[in-house]
Amino acid sequence: MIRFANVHDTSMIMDFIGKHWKKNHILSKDKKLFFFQYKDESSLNFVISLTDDKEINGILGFIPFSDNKSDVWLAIWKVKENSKSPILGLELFNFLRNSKENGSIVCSGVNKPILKIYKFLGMNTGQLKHYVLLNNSIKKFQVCVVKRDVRTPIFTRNIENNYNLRYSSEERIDKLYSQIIQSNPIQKSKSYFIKRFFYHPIYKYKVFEIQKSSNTLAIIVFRLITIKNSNLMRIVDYIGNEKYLVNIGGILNQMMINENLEYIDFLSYGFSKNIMEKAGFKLVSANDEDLIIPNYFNPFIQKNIEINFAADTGIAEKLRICIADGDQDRPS
Amino acid sequence: MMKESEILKILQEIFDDIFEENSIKINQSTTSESIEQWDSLNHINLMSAIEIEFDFKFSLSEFMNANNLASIVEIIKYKIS
Repeated sequence: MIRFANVHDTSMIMDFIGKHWKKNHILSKDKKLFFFQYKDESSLNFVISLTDDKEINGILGFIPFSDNKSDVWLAIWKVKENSKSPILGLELFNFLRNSKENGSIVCSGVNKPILKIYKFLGMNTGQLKHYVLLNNSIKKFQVCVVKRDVRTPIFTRNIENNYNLRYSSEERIDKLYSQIIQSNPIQKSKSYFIKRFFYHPIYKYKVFEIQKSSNTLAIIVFRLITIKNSNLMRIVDYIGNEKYLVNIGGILNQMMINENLEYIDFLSYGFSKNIMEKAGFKLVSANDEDLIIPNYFNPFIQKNIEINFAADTGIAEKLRICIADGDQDRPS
Repeated sequence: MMKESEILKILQEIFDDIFEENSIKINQSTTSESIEQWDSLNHINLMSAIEIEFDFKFSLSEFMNANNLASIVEIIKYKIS
């Protein structure tokens, strides 16, 4: 039987994750984080498959991101190894898709072999791009690897252009979020955004507004990471027109110097390479051994990685995905 | 019109390619339950190989029903007729 889960299924799902996904996986142990990601009043955002003995043999977790909850990130998708049905996973997916008829389904962080399944389902697939802004004043990098001269031109802050980064708050986001113009077919709702970045049980995010002459034009979210006695900052979400990134290149550069950051990086899809380069960022190639910008910090893995995604959104060229979307940027 | 035996012969080659470490003699009663390695990923590999070999596309419902040889043969016969 396939059905949506409810809170009474919590222990069973967490046990399943620990036994069949990964032993000691944080979502099998940390109920607070589990509820943060998946609990929605009395329901749990999981489709589950049960055997005749009422045991779970497949799960599909999802995270609604729009106001009507019909648009979802797919998260954990796992079928028991000996389930004896090669299509059980697809049945879970179909159950969800049929219940969200007019919505979008997007998944970031897809294992490469699984991309085939999404392609078969007619979804757009691709890889996130990894951009980095290196701190030119750092003599010896601890977190990233820089073996050749890839340092970017220093952008000085141009006071005359009147652009500014303003530290934001839940109250301000509540008032101004709907004014930000977005062309992304993934329209993250205000309530999703506020919960994601102001109420995360473990991670602390810094939410800023990009302003011109005190008018807020876009929202940018950072997460500070300290590792190996070094600091770095990740842009984890961006709401609004990306062209404004060009206007804050100098501000980001100053921020790196002030906070002694090794670098600022941005793992994303759809953001114009031209704009990113004008803002001072370099594109990192996954197979570049001379420029390594890690993505995993707990445990720390000093490697470039590829993050695959699949999306069934209609307007592929306007699609924008950031690293905090879906089940990414989660403690492990 | 291709004969059923000819379809099965081609399918045998596809199964040999995909489940290469195990020699599996297929017949009309073979199902996904009788082949341990026939999991969701190998299902995709099988369906993709069949699509290429017989030059058609499975619909989603056909894809979902194609977890036994009898159904696969019926779908192929219908698609290439």
